[in-house]
Amino acid sequence: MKKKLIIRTSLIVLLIILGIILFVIGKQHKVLLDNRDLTIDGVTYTAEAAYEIWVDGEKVGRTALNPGRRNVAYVVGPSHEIELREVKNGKPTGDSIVKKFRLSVKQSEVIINIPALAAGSDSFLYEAD
Amino acid sequence: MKDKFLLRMENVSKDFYGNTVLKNVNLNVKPGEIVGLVGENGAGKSTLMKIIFGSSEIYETGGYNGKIIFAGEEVNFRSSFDALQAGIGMVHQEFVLIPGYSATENILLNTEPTRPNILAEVFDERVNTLDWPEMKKRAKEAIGLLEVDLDPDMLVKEMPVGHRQFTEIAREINRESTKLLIMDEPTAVLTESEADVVLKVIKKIASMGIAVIFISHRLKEILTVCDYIVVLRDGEIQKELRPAETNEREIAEYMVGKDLGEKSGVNREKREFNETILKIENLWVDMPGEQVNGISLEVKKGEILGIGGLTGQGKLGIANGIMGLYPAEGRVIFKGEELPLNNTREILNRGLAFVSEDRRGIGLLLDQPLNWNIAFTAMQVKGEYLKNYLGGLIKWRDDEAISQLAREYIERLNIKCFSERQYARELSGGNQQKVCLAKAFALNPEVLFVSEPTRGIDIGAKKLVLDTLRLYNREYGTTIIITSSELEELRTISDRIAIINEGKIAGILPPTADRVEFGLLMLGKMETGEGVLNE
Amino acid sequence: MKNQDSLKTVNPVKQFFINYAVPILFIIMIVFAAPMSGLSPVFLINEVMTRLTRNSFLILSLLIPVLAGMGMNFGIVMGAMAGQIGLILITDWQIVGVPGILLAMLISTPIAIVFGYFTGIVLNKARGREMVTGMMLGYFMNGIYQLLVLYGMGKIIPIRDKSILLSRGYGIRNAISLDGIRQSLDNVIKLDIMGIQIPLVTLAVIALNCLFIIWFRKTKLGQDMRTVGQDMEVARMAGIDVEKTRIISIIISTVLAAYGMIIYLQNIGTINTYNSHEQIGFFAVAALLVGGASVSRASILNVFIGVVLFHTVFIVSPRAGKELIGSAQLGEYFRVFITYGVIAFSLALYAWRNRIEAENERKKAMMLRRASLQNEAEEGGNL
Repeated sequence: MKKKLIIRTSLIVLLIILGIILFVIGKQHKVLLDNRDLTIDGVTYTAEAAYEIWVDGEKVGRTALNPGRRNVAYVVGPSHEIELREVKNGKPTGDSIVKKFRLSVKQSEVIINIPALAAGSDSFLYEAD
Repeated sequence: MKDKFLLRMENVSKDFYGNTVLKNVNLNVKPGEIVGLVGENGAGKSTLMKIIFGSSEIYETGGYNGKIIFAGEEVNFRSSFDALQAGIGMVHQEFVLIPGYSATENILLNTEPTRPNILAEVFDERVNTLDWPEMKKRAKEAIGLLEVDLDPDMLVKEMPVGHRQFTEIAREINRESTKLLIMDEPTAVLTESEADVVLKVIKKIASMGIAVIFISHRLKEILTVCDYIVVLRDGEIQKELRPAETNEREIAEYMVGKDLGEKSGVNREKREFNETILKIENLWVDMPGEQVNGISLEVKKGEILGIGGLTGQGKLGIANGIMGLYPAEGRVIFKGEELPLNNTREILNRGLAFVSEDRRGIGLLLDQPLNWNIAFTAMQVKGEYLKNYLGGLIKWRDDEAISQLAREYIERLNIKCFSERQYARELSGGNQQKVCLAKAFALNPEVLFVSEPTRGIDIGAKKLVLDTLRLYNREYGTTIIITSSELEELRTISDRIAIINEGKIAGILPPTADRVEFGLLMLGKMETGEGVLNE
Repeated sequence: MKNQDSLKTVNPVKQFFINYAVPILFIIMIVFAAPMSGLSPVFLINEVMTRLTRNSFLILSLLIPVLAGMGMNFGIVMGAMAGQIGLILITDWQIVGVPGILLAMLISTPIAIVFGYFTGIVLNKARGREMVTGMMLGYFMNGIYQLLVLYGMGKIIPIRDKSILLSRGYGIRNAISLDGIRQSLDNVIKLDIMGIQIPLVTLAVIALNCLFIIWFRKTKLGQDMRTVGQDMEVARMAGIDVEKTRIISIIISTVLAAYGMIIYLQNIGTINTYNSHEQIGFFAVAALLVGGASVSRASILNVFIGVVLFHTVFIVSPRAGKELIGSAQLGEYFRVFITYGVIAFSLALYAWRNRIEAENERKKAMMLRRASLQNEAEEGGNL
């Protein structure tokens, strides 16, 4: 009798854990990609270049993201990778920048600032209001 | 101290709402003993069995008085399941089997061996899968113990009746705990050859150390198989007999009791009847629990014919079959013309009427006033009490005529009511019965079937109903065929009494015949020749 | 011999046609309407494949109550509601893809169990009238569901996603788009054989359900349900807890229906919050009956035959109607007409067939009884 109770309780706990795992890995996040000027902690990053952007290996938008523009990507799950490549005169130049980032389940909508990311700042990602 | 008795009942009494059905019953059964139980309808057999088998009906109606000691312990079962756990099995008169299941599945019903399963740890043992090889093995073992030829894979619905009975018995045997087996008329639905095998099986079971309480209306069976016989009458044990020291006549005597002689109110008027009004030839009726197996009978014009017999032997089937309420086969000749069987309306049209034993079910329109009830059948069948308009296209109830008719019968039959507009539901049982009679009388039938006219009504009302019938018979010369479980009632009113046993006529006796003679007929001891009265 | 004449049972060919009247009728309809519709075989097969993956799971959920003798469980509507509640919540939480579907199933399970338990208790009180009671209970629970979704959600149950709420700030919109999970189960592995799309994973899930049902029938509980379905009194006398067994059968059915609804809606891609579940009971029951099932006997094969026949008729009939009468709108009328018609016809046929069978059984039993009694009498005479 007691054994069954323990088994049942642990099964329910297991299912709840499964639910949480599903919640985390299935959570969709809206990622806004801003190629705009941004000032963080007194440092200003200015948008000067156009970029081609890949999020989790998928290209965002058909063309490069020009300065002053914004694009959007939807991602699922907690950990992601963003890749940037500068575009000049319609041709990709220079090395691509690859950056990993994590999103918590609470972050439904976040903004990634491309100039800050390109400049190597760690605070390129912040929550949208 | 070890008890040498398996079952001891000490002063067991039982009453239902003040109505005593068992009085101080003492019964002792040893392991491996076969006890025969004999008694008339209402003698208390079934109540006694229900007490032993722990039927919840007993518990719910206030339990019983006295002590029951089973296997050395005092018991008081609340449900049959408790009794099963304790080791009491029961083979019912009607099969408790699943027709669509094989013998194996039925034998192991709810005792199936299973193979364990991880899911059972989470849910219930019931998610274990059935262990078919083991099931088959156990079924074969149980069948093997009975030494009968029964195919474990055969579906019950495809089995002959006898094999169904073996399946039931095998199921009880399969329960290892079974120490006492109650068998309630296990042979009632079997042919004689099938019954013989069942008797052998009973002996075999007893030889395995299981005690058997055997109920049967076939005295021959009781005498062959039992170690001793208990006769019940009116809730009391009349006598315990040893088969070697008794005979059928003695048993019948204890069962029906001594004749009251002159005081009993038996109809002693000898009347002569010549003309045959109804001739029944080889009638078969398929009424569940009351089957009629090929009855031939002649009813004389103007007589009151009683039909008696034990419950379930088919006496009720005769009237129901002739009136077309249950499928019937055979020939019924009424005034020289053959009646169309299974066509109630036509039969009513010809001048036969029926007061059913099922008063509340088919006898009365409970939520309609008395006057409608009385006139209803006459209105439906004969088109009486209707006003015709437009050349009969529109028929209107003639309320005036209906009320007049009702008032007439209320007065004649002394029906106690406020007015003819009172609802039938509000009347007492006796008065409801009188309304049923009035309804039948309103048809002016030549032949009237009356079934169990006094069931469930008090003694005063009983006498009134019987007097009404007798009066109607004398006044109009209506032939009445009255079916009743109460022999004394039949003896007070009938000119002759036919006793039905196993769907056949066991014999016809005048009401003045000795009670024991009737008792013997009820127990299936056939009389030769039926000319007792017609001499 | 007169006796043997009466003993002869109904002609087996006739028996077959009576038993399978509904499926035969549908096959005839398809044979005529399919060529008339002018649809290409590949298109037709693709459509049927879609319906098969969409509906089968839901219809499979009807099987276990039939086993327990409770007839067609119109109460699956309540399972559908539970499934929809799960879907609305994951949509709000923005859980997408296969994890979203699984989470919706996980959430709907306890809700479906509670609904099923409740349904089971009510049906136990309405023994012998389970089907109509289940149907009415569905309507009643629809009221409670609407109360929950229309007033509760956004007020008591927090809903953050304003896009699925009505503009007044609480209550779910009439239609919710399931973009996040649309066909995500179907698309995990999708084979393309000669232009025919085969969603392998959904089919695997359906197969799993079939295996579950096959396994379940072999368990003690399955056997008990069969016993209860055959004869409640006998089951009770054998010590089976009849009420509990029946409740469990309804719970299983309701839970499976919740999953079935989720699979159904992920394929369609939108929820009609207040309508999607309503007709589910009728369509599922009608499809099963078209597959040759009856109120007391339904198999896995009936489910698949039923889905194929029922939906093929729906796919071809509007086109055939257009070719024939010039109006495709007839299709929708036709759909409703056929669905209710099939249910009414099957139930009437079932009742009629039962009566005939009972009468035949009775006659047979009586003949046997007569024969054995007569034999005995003759033997007795010969001795």
